[in-house]
Amino acid sequence: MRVTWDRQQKKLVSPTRPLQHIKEVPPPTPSQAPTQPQREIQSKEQLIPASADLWLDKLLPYLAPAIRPLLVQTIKEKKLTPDSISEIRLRVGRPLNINCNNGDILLRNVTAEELLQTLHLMSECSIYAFEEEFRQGYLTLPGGYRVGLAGRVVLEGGKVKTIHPVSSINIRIARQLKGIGDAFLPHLLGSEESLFLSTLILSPPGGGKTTLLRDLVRQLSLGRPDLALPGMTVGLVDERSEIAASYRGIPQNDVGPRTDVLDGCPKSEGLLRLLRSLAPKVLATDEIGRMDDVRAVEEAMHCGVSLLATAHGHNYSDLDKRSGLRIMNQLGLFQRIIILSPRPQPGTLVAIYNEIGEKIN
Amino acid sequence: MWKLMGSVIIIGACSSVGLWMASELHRRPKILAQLQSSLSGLATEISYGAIPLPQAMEQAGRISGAPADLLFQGMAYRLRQNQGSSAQEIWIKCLQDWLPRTALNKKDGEELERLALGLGTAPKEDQLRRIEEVKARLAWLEKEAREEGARLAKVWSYGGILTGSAIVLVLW
Amino acid sequence: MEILQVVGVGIIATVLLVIIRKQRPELAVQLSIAAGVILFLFILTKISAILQVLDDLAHQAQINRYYLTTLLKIVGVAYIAEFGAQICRDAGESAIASKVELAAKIIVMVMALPIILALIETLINLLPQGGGP
Repeated sequence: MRVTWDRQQKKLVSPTRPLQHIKEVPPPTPSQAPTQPQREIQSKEQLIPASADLWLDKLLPYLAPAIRPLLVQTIKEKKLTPDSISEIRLRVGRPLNINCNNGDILLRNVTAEELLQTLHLMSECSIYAFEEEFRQGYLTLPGGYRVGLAGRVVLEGGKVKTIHPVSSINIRIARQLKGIGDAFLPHLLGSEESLFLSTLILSPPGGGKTTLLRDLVRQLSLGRPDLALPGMTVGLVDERSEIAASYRGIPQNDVGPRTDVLDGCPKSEGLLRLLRSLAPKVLATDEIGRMDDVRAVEEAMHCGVSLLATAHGHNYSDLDKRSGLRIMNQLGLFQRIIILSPRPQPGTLVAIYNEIGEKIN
Repeated sequence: MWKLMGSVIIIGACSSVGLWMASELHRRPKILAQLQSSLSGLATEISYGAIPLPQAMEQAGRISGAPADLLFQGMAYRLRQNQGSSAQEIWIKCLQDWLPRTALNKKDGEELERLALGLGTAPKEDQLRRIEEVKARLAWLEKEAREEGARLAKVWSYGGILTGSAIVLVLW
Repeated sequence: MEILQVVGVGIIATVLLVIIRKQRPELAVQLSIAAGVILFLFILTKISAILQVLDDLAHQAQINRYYLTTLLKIVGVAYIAEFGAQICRDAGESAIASKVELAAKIIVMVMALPIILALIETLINLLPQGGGP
């Protein structure tokens, strides 16, 4: 058997070694999000060791080797932090684009080869395993990064089958703001029968409703001893993988220890599934308002399950503008309605209303 | 005395070569059978779980014994170390490393290389179809190898000893 | 009675072969080779006795010992070649079988060359000298 020198492990390995190699890595624990497949440990050696940012280290193994030093260099020079970067975009034949809070940075052109390598790394060379993700146009990486894909769409029977070849990749930097729901939660609590009142979060785009939803789910699941709130089972329908950012079914964002996530499931079906088989105390989902959703949330109400949802809107009167929301409001499904605004910054509270339309904050 | 030792050495060497060739011929259909069962395992992993290639290859390697398992485990290892190459390139490189150390010949290697076409990138049905195709060809090669082995094993084993004795006789 | 030992080894080998052929066919060939070698070793002592007798006869007839040895070697090579060619034919490779026989013929030719030369010399010596014009 040929014996070679393994640089990472600094010992001699023979080809039988890979089996032991694989056995050594502990299986991912579900409580903390499995940060990476084993790859991270092995390819660290190829990364620019100067990178001290953990978030960047999680992302770099998924980028083409030629892009990594460029990115690390730029981030070090401009002293960027995960809070200031929102997206990294790779486009074939066009400059590498880093979107920051106050503008964006254009670097050198990305070649088709580099994009292909990035795609191979992100999909672990197994595009067939991500068929559904390619059809939807996005996939999630360990660490919670949401990667949007664009390129030539392949149609089958008039519907999108896949994207091939991919010419644009948009990596959204995972940012979970824990604690922004702290001040909100006391207003959303009720009495003995339903500890948590059904809440609707309304805001225009960029208002921070998904972030708030995520944090509220986390806190409800964890419990708030200071408010005498025990941890509750939360059922989360994450249709677009934005809230929990699940990678192969495991949430990459912290959504709490008692949360069950249905990833990529259509809302109406997902809500009913959770109700029937997972006995949640709270059902959470994003962007409701369609007529199909009404039936599901009605049934939840009859089961005595609280709801936590978000919807698009600028103020209280927007509730009447969409038929689904109007019906839900008429049924008195939501006991609390939170209005957020993107100005002066995302997550700014405008008002909290109760079920009859009175402001209570 | 020296003559005797020399002749023993010569006969021993020739007959070892002959017996080794015979055992290689016998090992070849066994390895081809192992490869087929590993490929079945790979197909199952891909079709039922849509499991990514590194894990699928590792599982496939667990199914069969040596030396076929080394091929798939080596592939899984290299996939995990991947720095951007496609699965096709990695598979071909793995094959090139693995094949010379086995009893398989070039023809078998060519059939195995066909697995690389579209590996990982084609849709699931195409992946499974390709695996079935390679499996069928390997089955055919296995049958051929068994027949060839049954025929030629005797030739090589006896041939080794007889050649040794002939050389000894001529040189005595 | 050595013949009983020889027959005994033969029968045991046959029975073992039949049993083993079912379980591990590849060992069957090696087993038959081993049985053949054992039997050959058995008769080796007998062969050396015969060789001794032939040697004495040659010495008495004042024939060079070398010729006798070569003759016996030729017989050995011929036998081995025939055995080998038969094996090849059994495996269906009759082309290789004929090559083996050809090679054996050439080896025999080469080994026999000194004897032929010696024979021709003797004949020339026997012929009356000066068969000139």
